[in-house]
Amino acid sequence: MQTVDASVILDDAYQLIGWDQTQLETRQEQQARMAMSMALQEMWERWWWEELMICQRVQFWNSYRADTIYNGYFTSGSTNTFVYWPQTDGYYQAVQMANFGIAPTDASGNLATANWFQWRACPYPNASAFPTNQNTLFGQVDYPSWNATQSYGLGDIANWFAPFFDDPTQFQQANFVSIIAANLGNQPVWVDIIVGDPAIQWFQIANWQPNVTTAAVNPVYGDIRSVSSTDPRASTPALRFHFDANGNVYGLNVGKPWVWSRRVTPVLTGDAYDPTVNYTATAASDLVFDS
Amino acid sequence: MNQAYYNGNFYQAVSVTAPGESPDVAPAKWRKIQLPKNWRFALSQLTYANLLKLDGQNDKAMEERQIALQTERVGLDDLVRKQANDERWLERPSVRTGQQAW
Repeated sequence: MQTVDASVILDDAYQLIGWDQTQLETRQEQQARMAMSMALQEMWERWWWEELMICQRVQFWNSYRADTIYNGYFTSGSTNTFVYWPQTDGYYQAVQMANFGIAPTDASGNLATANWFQWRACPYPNASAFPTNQNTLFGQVDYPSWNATQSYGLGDIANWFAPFFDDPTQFQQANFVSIIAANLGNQPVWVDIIVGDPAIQWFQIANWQPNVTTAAVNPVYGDIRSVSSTDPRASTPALRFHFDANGNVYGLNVGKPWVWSRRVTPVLTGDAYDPTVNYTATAASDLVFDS
Repeated sequence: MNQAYYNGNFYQAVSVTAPGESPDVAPAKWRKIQLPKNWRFALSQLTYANLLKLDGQNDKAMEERQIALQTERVGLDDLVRKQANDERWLERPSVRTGQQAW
């Protein structure tokens, strides 16, 4: 991309408005810089300028690591609960405490059952649940109600409205929950699969990797054009997924969709250089144009 | 703070600077912000229009803004022709995720 100095733009604007560059007041310079920053934002967001867009695959949680301890949903606010598992291109939630070194599945893609049931697979949000099901907790609405006449195996999931226990000696509050067949204390029981925080939606943009919080090392998202199953720039049509204003993505059928977005709209703050200040470094990826 | 206006241009610090290490003194620690060349006319004209608006000349600002956004001046015509029949661009509204200070 061919570029031009910002000073050229300002010089043009000064000429147009008839200001003498050698006689500018500080206030006029500040106004001009602000006016140019606004102009840049308008141009930036006027169209999907392909050269100013980013197209990359994302995943919703970090990949499983064998050297990390994973704690299940039993602990409120527990971290390291969800992982991406490349082998099956899926996401898994830890269902036991202090899981260390036990991968979500074996080589055949079967859930790990070392001693106890260690992980559960997180189903993708159901497209048919949109848009009324705003409080979906990672797919719980997808499950049928528990049925007393039905046999369940390890890892089966059902919905249940009743007091339930996740420990043979403890009852917990009544709630409408999704439950999963598991082994605890070597006894097959049902346990809940809710983390407890309805705000946690594992498919939200806030969880994407690369994500906004790692902007120092990864490009950050501006306005999102599409989320799709394959590279949207390819000649083969890509399956587009619906996404809402919160960044929730619906109807996924791949673990790592493609996100096509603008680079974040730049803002020229325009403060004059201050020789008494230590300036901090800008991440290389945040530099929009190479000079 | 990682951005400064210096001698008519905008600079981003690419390394931590010490006091007095201006873009002239420590050029390796700064990068000049550059803008797309094919936006020169539009950006200049829009900047002008914004200055008029700041001065309260709203009618004149509107006129100049329309001139700025004439599509042939900003390359939109070419872009539209290129993308008009391309399914990729016929998409739903976007999600805004924030802004970044340069």
